[in-house]
Amino acid sequence: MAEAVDGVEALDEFRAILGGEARSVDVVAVEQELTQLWKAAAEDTAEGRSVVRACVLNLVAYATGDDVAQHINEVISQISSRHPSRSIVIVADPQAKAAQLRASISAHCQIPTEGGKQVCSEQVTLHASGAAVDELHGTVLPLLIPDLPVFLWWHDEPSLRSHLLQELLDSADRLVIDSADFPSQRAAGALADIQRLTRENDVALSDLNWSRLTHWRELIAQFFDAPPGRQYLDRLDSVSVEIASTHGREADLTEGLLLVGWLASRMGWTLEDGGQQPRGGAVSFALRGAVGPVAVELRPGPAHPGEELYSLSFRAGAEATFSISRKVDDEACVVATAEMPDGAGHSRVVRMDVPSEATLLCDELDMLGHDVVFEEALAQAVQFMTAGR
Amino acid sequence: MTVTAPPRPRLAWQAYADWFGTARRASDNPSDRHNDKMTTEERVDNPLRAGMRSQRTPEPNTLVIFGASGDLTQRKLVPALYDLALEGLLPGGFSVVGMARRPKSHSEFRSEMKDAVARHSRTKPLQPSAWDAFAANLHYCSAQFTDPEGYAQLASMLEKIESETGCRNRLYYLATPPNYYSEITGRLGEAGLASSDDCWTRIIVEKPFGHDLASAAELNRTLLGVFAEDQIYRIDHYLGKDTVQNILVFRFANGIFEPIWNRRYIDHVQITVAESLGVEGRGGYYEQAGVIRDIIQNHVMQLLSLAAMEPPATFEPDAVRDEKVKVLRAVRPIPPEEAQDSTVRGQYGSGVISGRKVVGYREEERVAKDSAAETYLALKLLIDNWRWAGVPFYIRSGKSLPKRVTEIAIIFRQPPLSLFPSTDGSRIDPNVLSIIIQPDEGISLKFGSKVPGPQAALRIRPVEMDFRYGTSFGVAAPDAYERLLLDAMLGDATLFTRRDEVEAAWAFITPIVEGWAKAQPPRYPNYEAGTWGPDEADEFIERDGRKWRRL
Ligand SMILES: NC(=O)c1ccc[n+]([C@@H]2O[C@H](COP(=O)([O-])OP(=O)(O)OC[C@H]3O[C@@H](n4cnc5c(N)ncnc54)[C@H](OP(=O)(O)O)[C@@H]3O)[C@@H](O)[C@H]2O)c1
Repeated sequence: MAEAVDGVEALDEFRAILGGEARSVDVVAVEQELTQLWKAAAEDTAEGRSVVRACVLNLVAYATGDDVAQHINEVISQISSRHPSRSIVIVADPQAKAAQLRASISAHCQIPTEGGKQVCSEQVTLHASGAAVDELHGTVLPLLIPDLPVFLWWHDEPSLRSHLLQELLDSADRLVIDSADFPSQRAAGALADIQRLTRENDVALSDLNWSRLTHWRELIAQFFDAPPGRQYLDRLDSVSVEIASTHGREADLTEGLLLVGWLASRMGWTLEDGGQQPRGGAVSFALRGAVGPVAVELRPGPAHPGEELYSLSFRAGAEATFSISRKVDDEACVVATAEMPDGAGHSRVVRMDVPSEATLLCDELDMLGHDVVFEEALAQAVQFMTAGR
Repeated sequence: MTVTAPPRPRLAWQAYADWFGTARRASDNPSDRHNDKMTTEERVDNPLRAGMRSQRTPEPNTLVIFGASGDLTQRKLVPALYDLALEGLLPGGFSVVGMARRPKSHSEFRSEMKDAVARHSRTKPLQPSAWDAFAANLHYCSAQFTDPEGYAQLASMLEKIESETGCRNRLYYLATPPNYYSEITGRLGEAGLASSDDCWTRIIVEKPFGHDLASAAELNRTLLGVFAEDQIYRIDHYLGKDTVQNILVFRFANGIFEPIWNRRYIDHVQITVAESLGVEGRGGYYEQAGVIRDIIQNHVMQLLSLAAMEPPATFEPDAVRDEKVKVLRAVRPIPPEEAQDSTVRGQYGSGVISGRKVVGYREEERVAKDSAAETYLALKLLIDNWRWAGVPFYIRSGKSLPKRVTEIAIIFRQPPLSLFPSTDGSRIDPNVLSIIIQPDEGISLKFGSKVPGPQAALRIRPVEMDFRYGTSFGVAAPDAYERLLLDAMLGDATLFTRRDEVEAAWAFITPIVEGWAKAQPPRYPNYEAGTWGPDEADEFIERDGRKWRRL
């Protein structure tokens, strides 16, 4: 009798979890609870459709504070359709006095296609405070699904002193950060530290701030895919980047510097003289390319909701100009214009949505190995930042 | 000064690899990971391209669409172009010239296309500023396809556009009724529009490519009289589908399947292309074509060649197509006298599909009341080579079937010994690997497993291991036409059919059609809409001791 009641309760409970609710569980029993959840789900044929538990990777996310954790939950739920994963979300409060650890489980389910199966993935949330934060790896590591890649998404400025970070990096394949969240005076140092740290641990590195550049880089490369544009690439002598102020903050140069770092590393430009500081907040660098000097300037531009890069322009002497700029009357689009002699120029409008954090993260999760192009761009960008100070 | 980059054959493979990223991730093989490393050493003509997903954009060019007011142009071509433009995948200096009979101004043409894009583009709503920029490069040229004047007009229009964009690459697209293909080709040649000195000129030919071997060969001769084979892109839009390309990735990027992909382990193969719709107003065309020309000759033969081909030495267009055509040539011919016995034809009568009443084929628009066109076909074919000798391939395709599904199923042999005596008289199901191409694309493997329980008598039940992507994983795949248009502009012919492939496919199909013509047609209608075809089709496969898969 008692068993039957239990059965009904269990059924309601797992339906609630698949419906998006979180349920507290004993930290040592997380794995067992998950097994039970999926077992109950598999047996529930009431609605005539089966639930598939899907998992292609481990995603460990680190957040401080409940607001950030809430945001991370949303992002994970958006990416779970493309990257169904076991996600382990750490909500840390290292400053707290009392050492505490609580766990809960929840699930992310897709709305099934007609007649199709419902694909779900699972999440474990660990709330840790005080000294418990530093010991968390002992709880996280056994929860990783063996033989699947481990992505560590550190939603905070990583601190080299964090014992937890060090320990988790040991088991991770990729560290994902977002340098847009770093205070600009510390960005150079932080990025340099992270690059060293990931190299030492042989962990691949992703910066969401770099992924924001993907579409920009594609459009830039397109100018030089074919003649007649191609011939001007080696003769570029000036690059100018306009940075918008976003969210009412002051223009932050990190994204722009990553872009310039990318150009410099691809083109073999070296820094001659750097960081001649503000003329209305602008920074300029003197670089040397294979053919001659290249002048680079980053300056604050108009405000744009959501993205820092506002416009770019490249010049090869007085002959050719290539530019990409947000459209004034339609912020979802950019205009890409090439001006070249003999009517070879062209101009077109391309849609460029500001990618959401989920989109950016999705792209990084697609990648397993090192992104060498990024790492080289980052090394250059760090140089510029250091020179700029 | 650099010259035009040669076609980059790696592109197609690159895209396959990207595409299959999701699946590959599940295996965490260290050597795999190494390969994933984005190499900077890779020699790219444009240094900024290193490590990027797309390896290049096409050179500026002008696309000339013949039949620019047609259904295909409105539903597929222009929406695909707009979506490509929106993603920034089309080069600056790209223009379109639409050519058709009815006179209209550029701006009338643009506004027609705008409506078409608003309805059919996969990105909604229409982005006004992107549309305006795209539409500025749309032009219209009104002419009869038979009128030399029209081509002169086209030439001067091209000249004018090209003087502005500075680039004379041209891509022609034959989106006209098929009886104009030869006419247009010949006229283009006459007008000196079929080639130019320092730029490329290419031509895309839509299906149907001929209606039998003789007409296909004739069309090839006409095309080759004006264009070289490497200028000709014969479209089979099935090849533009991600999931079809995935057959190759699945077979050749995974180590575990190729060793068992042969007669030693495989009992037989079933290829199903089922549609739940009827002929949908295309009765006139269907009367002439039937399912054998509409689906089997092109799409099914392509699926067959991808599933059965040997691994190509490289992923260059010709290496892949060489292997595909070898399969088609090894298919044992069905001579006319055997056509009747080796195939089962059907035509649907009225019925109910998904709760909706539908009329029979003979009641459809522009269909004869005593039509002998087949809307269903089942056939068995054999491939006479070392890999496949003795393994039958059962093919079935039809309209107004219970659901829309395209799949290739590999049915493996039973284990050599039956260790486990069956208790309930049922035999153990064979292992089945199915590659589902649409609509719920994925791969699933069926195998036997013990039913839990302490009983001494073992019970074995089939269970399925499923892998789904695409729709169930919520990624909007680009339309096949986007991929194919871009490939043609890039000069990558991997996903287009070559002359010998088309002719080999027709060489197999034509004797069957001839055999049918001599025999008495079956008594139609012989299956009800909403069922899995005529009963004879079941008897047909059961004669060999096998069964159609229940889908
Ligand atoms: N529709 C599809 O979904 C589909 C799918 C696969 C393959 N296809 C193939 O694609 C081709 C086109 O199909 P469709 O459905 O788009 O055909 P459609 O709707 O009949 O369009 C035919 C086009 O050709 C033009 N045209 C016809 N005769 C002409 C002449 N003598 N001079 C100048 N223009 C002429 C028409 O122009 P006007 O309007 O000015 O008369 C119209 O633009 C066919 O070969 C078909 O088999 C179509």
